[in-house]
Amino acid sequence: MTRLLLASMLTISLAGLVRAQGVSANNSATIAAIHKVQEQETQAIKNKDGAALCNLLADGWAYTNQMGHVMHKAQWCSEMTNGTLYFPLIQHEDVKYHVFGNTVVETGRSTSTMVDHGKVSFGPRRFSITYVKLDGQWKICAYAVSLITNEQ
Amino acid sequence: MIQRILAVSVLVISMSGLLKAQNAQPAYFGPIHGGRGNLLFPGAEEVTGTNAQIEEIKAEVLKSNEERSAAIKRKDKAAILASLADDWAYTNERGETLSKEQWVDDVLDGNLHFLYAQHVDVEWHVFGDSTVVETGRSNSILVYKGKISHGPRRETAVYAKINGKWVQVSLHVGFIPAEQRDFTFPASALPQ
Repeated sequence: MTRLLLASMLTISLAGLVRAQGVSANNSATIAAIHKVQEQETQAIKNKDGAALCNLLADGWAYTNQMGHVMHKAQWCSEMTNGTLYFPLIQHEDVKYHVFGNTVVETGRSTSTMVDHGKVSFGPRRFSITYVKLDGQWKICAYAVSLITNEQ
Repeated sequence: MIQRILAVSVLVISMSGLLKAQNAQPAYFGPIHGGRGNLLFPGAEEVTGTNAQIEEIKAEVLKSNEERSAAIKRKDKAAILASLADDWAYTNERGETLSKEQWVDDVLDGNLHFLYAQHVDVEWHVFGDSTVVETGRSNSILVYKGKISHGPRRETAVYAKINGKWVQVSLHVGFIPAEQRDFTFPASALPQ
């Protein structure tokens, strides 16, 4: 288990390197702020702190997963912190940040391992995560995830 | 005798299907959808509530979408490109990512066209005064490079107000996999 956790941490760090490669100088401050939100999200999940996790998501947060299911933020925060939904391995590649003022879209390919209600998903998937700056604070406002069908 | 009746019945049903198909008007150009692309439909559920400002934002985003639809109809490449943000983020249901120039070329070259459009379960998510997310389910039938795709799909479109103008900044489309292997692995499939 410890080995798995270390592998996950290493992969997250590597994902950070990949992210950094796609950052232009003009948007570096914005991307740094987004990275901070991502770190807080990871910490909230690690601490099983549903309230802290929900605080990072904008009201009206939109979520669609690779099965075509939609979920509201309260359910997401609950499932991500009560063991219903978890990621033994996180691996993101081809990560790009598209910065549009107060709106940022992060896109990429995920080969993370995901366990949802006891069932395992290996992907690979494509994801788009949207961030918005509201009252001076960056929040996550949408997740869209889909399977890469010709690799299933 | 029964076999003959059955054969005639099958033939009649098949021919009636053909006639229906010939007479069918593509809903894509119907009064509700009104054009191409991803639309924010009037009457869609407003997830983040509504007020005068949100109504104004919705009207502006709708107008921007109508302008893109009109630009596609008249094959106005410059206007279509202008309705999509520079660095537009697009992922299609096959997991491919395309630049806006590639997508527009596909549309204008006829590589991508829609036979039928139907969007349901559409929700509006309005964040502040410059970000709108639209989610929904698409039952549209499209043709991509000669191959037909029936979906169904889930779509997430993001709009942002840039320099006073609403543009689409992202579109993510994914199949709803009714039958596939994902999530069928038991927990014991996890590596030790």
